[in-house]
Amino acid sequence: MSRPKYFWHGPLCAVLLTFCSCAPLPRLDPNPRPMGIIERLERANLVVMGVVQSETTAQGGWRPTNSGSMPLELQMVRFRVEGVIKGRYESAALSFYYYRSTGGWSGHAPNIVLPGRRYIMYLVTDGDLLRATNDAYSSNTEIITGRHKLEAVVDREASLELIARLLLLPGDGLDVSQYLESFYVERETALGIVGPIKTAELLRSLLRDKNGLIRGRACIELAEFPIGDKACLAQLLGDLSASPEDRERGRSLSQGR
Amino acid sequence: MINEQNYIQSGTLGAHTSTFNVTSSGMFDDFVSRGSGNDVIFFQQFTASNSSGLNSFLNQPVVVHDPSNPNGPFFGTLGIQAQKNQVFINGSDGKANGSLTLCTDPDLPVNQ
Repeated sequence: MSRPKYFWHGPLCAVLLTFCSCAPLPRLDPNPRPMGIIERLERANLVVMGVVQSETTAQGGWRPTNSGSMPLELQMVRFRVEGVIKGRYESAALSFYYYRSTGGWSGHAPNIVLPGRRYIMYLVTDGDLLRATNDAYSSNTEIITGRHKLEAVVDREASLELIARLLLLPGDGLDVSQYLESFYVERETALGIVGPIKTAELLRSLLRDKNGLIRGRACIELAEFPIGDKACLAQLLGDLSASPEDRERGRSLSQGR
Repeated sequence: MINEQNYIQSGTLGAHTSTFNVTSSGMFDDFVSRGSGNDVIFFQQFTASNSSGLNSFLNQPVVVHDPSNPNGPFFGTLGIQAQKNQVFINGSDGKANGSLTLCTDPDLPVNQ
């Protein structure tokens, strides 16, 4: 039985990968500043959604350890790509770099990347490498609504609306309890990027969800300030599959409290 | 706009003296972490300012509610001790019966 021609390619690739991972990194100047979703989206060459496979501290190369009083560490993230929101990327995986702070922290969200979690990553090219739009501070958007099939988007507004949908609407493999726990945070984020009218449209679509817990929470987030649409409350009060806490809150809201 | 001032007693702190823009609901998120360095002890105060000209004021102190000491001595100030694996805020590690409890949504009634 003859060996296939690519029999030796596996070990060869392993040697090359080992060599490449030890090669000095080009100079990556840290950019530690907070950046909101809209600015990240505008600055990024490539915006992708997917799942973090691993995160390791990058070895070798030029690695400044401080930016002001902030101790920094260069991290390399391997990422499985599920869809592209901005830019072009054909492969199913990519690697990128970012600096994280290793010291004490109090302020805007730090960059936290956890293997196995799903994120939108906002990336720029730096030489031949991909890196996060900003360092130390959050440069991603975690998506806790599960896996989604992404449609092509053509402009900034469509990209923001897509991100709002990914934040709020359930996808495949949704963890309902985690989703409900942080739902008000996702609503706040959606309000900040697409405004109250479009956020309300997304929340109203959830009033038809088959899960009563989701219908109930969506109704509460519609009725709360600043959207203040209380039309769903009467239905919520009679929906026994909604949570008792949401029905109680619905009663208070319907009484103007 | 909210300004955060941190006064560090021991240790080092990145990302301090931050400025936050509140959301349309008047909310902002402030993250506290010890990181992988030494323990940190610091105190926090917040001031709010309004540059819109409508009901404008400058550097109004923000009340920080401490349920365990409603009349002080930390009224208006957060004392934070960030240790390995746990953070104490005004002496509380955020646990009830040994388990972490989530912050109560300020809009929701608190069950006594």
